[in-house]
Formats: sequence, structure tokens, C-alpha cells
Amino acid sequence: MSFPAQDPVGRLIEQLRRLPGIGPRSAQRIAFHLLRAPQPEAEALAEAIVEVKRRVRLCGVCFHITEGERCRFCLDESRDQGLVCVVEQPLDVFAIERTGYRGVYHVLHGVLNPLEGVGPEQLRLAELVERVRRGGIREVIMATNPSLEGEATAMYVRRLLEPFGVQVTRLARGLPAGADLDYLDDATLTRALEGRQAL
Amino acid sequence: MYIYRLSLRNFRNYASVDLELDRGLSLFVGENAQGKSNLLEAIYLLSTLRSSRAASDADLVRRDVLESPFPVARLECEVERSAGNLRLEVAIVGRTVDPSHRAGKRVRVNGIPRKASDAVGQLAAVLFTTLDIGIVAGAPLLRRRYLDMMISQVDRGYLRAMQRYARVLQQRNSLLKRIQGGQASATELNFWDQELAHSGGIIMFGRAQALAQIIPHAKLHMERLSDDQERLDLTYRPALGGLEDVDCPLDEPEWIARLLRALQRVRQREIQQGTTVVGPHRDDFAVEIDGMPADAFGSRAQQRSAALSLRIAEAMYLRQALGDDPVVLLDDVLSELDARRRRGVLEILDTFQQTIVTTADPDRVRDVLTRASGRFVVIAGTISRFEGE
Ligand SMILES: [Zn+2]
Repeated sequence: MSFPAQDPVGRLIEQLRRLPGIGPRSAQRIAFHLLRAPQPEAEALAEAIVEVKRRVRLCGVCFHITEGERCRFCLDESRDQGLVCVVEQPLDVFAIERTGYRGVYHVLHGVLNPLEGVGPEQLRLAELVERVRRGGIREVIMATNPSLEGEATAMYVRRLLEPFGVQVTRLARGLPAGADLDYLDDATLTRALEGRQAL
Repeated sequence: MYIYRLSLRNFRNYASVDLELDRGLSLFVGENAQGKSNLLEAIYLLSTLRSSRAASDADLVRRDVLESPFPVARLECEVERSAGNLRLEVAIVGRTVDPSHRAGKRVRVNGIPRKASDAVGQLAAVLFTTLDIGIVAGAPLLRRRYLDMMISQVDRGYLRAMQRYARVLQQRNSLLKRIQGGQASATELNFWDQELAHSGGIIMFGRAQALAQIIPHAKLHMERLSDDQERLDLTYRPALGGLEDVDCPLDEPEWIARLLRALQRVRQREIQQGTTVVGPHRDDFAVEIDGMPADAFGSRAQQRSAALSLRIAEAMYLRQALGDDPVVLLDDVLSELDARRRRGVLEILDTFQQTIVTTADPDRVRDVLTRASGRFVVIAGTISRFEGE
């Protein structure tokens, strides 16, 4: 069964299908769920989406999600601004936060993945180099996932930062290969962070 | 080791089969397309967790249930081993009704769920088929597969390196194409070169070592099986872009270093071609009979003897590496041998705890029939025991 794209239901299904992890059948299920849902519930969802797009943007320094110019980590004077933890995505920031980490972040928004056509230009790498070049940064912790692509990105960053004499470290080995940072338990992640080694 | 119980549910043309097997030789007699090869494929799949016929998971599930709500094939065996008894269960999901479930294989070792790759080689097996002549006369891919299936049964590190290598190779080839097209820079290659050399070097080291171990066995059995005591030579031909001359055995770090150097040497060529041209995915080994390349100059009979010798050598290699006998599977290969060669093969296989043989032509292999400790007849996906003639 398919709906013409100009039909309101068809349009909704089309839009839902663009979301990650949503196939055609799930898109239909969600669309019909919303159709049956009480008016306030559907409107609350629509408003939340509009709100997030209007109010949330990326921090001008570290590219974590924020409501202002800068995120709360970059603004926090009590945090160690000379210690930068580089992660793949904003979700990883929340995972690292749970370990009690007191430095700041840099969110790449992806990893090097030639198969998917992701090269250095698609990531926030030039911005990281610029941050380091301006000085004041003592150590960069590469906290990309322990996947092949995460390792590739960590090694690439190490080379990029070589000329600046900044120390580049990597989460300790022993994380389950292919694990996602935001799925690791806090104790494991804390150990990996504390046991970080020079790259 | 030997299998004493085997159950199949909805695998290929078998709806339901429960077999009790003995040590020694079990013979399965049946016309073509009744399910003899499917039976050996099932046992080999329990060993390698891969189809010996490169079939997709859906092909392995019996057609009648493929459209049902439970399109699942189940294979189960119990094995007596010197390393402790084994119960191995494999469920193959042919098609998913619910998209949140994954098609593929689920494996349990002694009741505990395992990743398929961790279950490879729990049951060790060697499969002889009439297509084995391809190892001698066919494409390099068939020789690589021969080595890979053999080594990965006994060497977990080798299997892991193969899996990692496949992923690195894919990424590296994409990157080479992007560099070729001006969308990426050559400096991005450094990490992938190191990774490729690392897992590739482990594979090359494993292959060189395994070949060194099988050569004496293969030579010996070629002499015994051939008419004029023909000499069989096997020489590893690693794909190292001009650096393949290896005069003394290299250790693992030396193979890694050599492959890394090869990658640096061929970098311009690889960027031009947009693909990786050195590494174990391009390896081969030369097979020579009496000093001549076996594919071009060997007779059909010589090629067949060489292929048999390689399979026997594989069984010997597994026995040595495991300190236990692999289960030997012969899919209709005995009927194409003359009585003398057949006797030669059977004498060697008698030293293994369990040999499972299929034939379409029991009259041609009466000598096998008399040796068998268990005899079965296979008709249209059912198996029954028979005694006497
Ligand atoms: Zn920030």
C-alpha cells in the first residue's frame, strides 16, 4: 500500500522515512499512530521538533549542541580549558560527562569512513587544528569509538596535530572492539579515560 | 574426535533427520539429488560456520518453510573430543518477518550463545569433493580458500586477522578511488597502510607456516597415490609487488614489515588503479608435478591425485595442530578412483577416528561397503539404516 506524496499522510510517511533506522513499514506504523493520537500529543511532538531546530545549534568553539553562542562546558571557568576530549558525536559528550571528566570537548560529527565518502573535510577537523594552533591546549584526548574507523580518525588527528607539540592521547586499550562509547558502562569508560596513553 | 549424534531440521531438503553415528567409516548411499551432499554440507557448516557451496543463508533453509513464520533451519551435533565433549547448535534464519530481527546464524556451544566466528573449528572437519581438482587446476581464489578454511579452524588469531583484513581492504580501496578522483589526499592512506600490513602480515605468516607443515604430507601421499611416484611441489607466492623473494623463513613482524614496504613501493600504481594490488587477497601458491606447473601440464589423473594429496595433508595438519583427529568427509570422491588408489586413500583414512563417505554407486565401491561400520540409504531427504548388501 502506498500513498501519493501530495497526500498529507503520504507526506508524513515520506518525512519519517528519512529518519535514521526507520524503514517503510515503521514509517507507516508511526504515521498511523500519530493519526490516532490525541491532538495535543501530536502537536507537542511537532513543537518539540520546531523548537529544537530553532533554539539548538552547535557551539562555536567545540561544536557540541547548545542553545547559546557557546556551550556550558566552554563557558565553565572551573573546567580545565587546556584539556580537550575529542568525540564522534554529541551523545558521546554525555557518556564522558558521567565519568566525572572536568576538561572540555571537541565534537567531530562523524569519523573518517572512505566507504561512506566521509573524509577530513566532512568533519570538524580544521576547526580542531585551529583551536590547537591558537594555543592554550595542553592535551588532546582522542575518544573516538574503538572501531576501525574510530582508530583511523585518532591516528589521522595525531598526525595533524604533530607540528603543534600538543600531547595527543588515546583511551586505554581493552575497550571491547567495535563498542559504541555511549553504550559502555561508566566504570569501564572511566577506566579507559584514566588509563589513556600517548598516541 | 567423532560425531555420535547429528540432527537436522529444515536444512536444505531435510525436514527432520536424527542420526546416531559410530567411530570408523559411515557410508551413505543414494542417487543424485536425494540429499547426500547436503548431509556433508551440514556437517562441514557445523565446523566452519560457512556453507561449502557459497550459498546464502536463505538457500540453506528448506523451501517449504521459507515462507512460514519460522523460516529457520537447525543443525545440531554431539561430538566426543579429546579436549572435552561438545554440543554444537546452529540456527540459520533464512528470512526475517519482523524487520527488528536479524537474518543470519545463531550459534550455541555447549548451550552457551557464541558469535559464529568463535565457534569455528570447535568441530574440526575436512571435506573432500569432486570439485577439489580446482585447488590444483583452478583459480588462485580456490587455493587461498583451501588454506583459509584449514588454518582458521585451528588459529583464532588468523580468523580474526582475515575478518579485519576484509574490512580494512574495503575501506582502503574506497579511499584509493577517492584519491584517484581527487576527493582525498594520499596522506589519509597512512593509517590504512599500517592496518592492512598488520592484519595482512599475520595472514601471510599463517599461510607460509601452514604450507611448510603440509608440504611433507602432500609430497608423501602424492608419491603413494600416483602411478609413477610423481613428485609434488608447493611454493607459496605471496603478493608483495616485487618483494616476494623470501630465502629464509620470516617471523610475523617481518611479514608485516615486508607488506608495509610493498605498499609503499606500489603506492603510485595503486592510486592510478584505484585498488589495492599487494596483500594476501592476491596471494597464490604454485602447484608443480615433477617440476611442471600442474594446471597447464598435469594430466587429469595427476591433478586428481594432487588434489587428494592436498586434502589428506589438510587432515594431517589439523590432527597435528589439534592433537585430535578431524572428522573426514568424502563427498562421492571414491567412485572416481581406481581400486588401487581407493585402497591407498582408505588405508590412510582408517587411521582417523571417523570418516563419513557418500556414494551414488555402491557397486563401484564394494570395498568401501565391506569396511563400513554404519550403512545408510538416502532417499528424498530421508535417511535410514540398512544392513547387509
Ligand atoms: Zn563548546
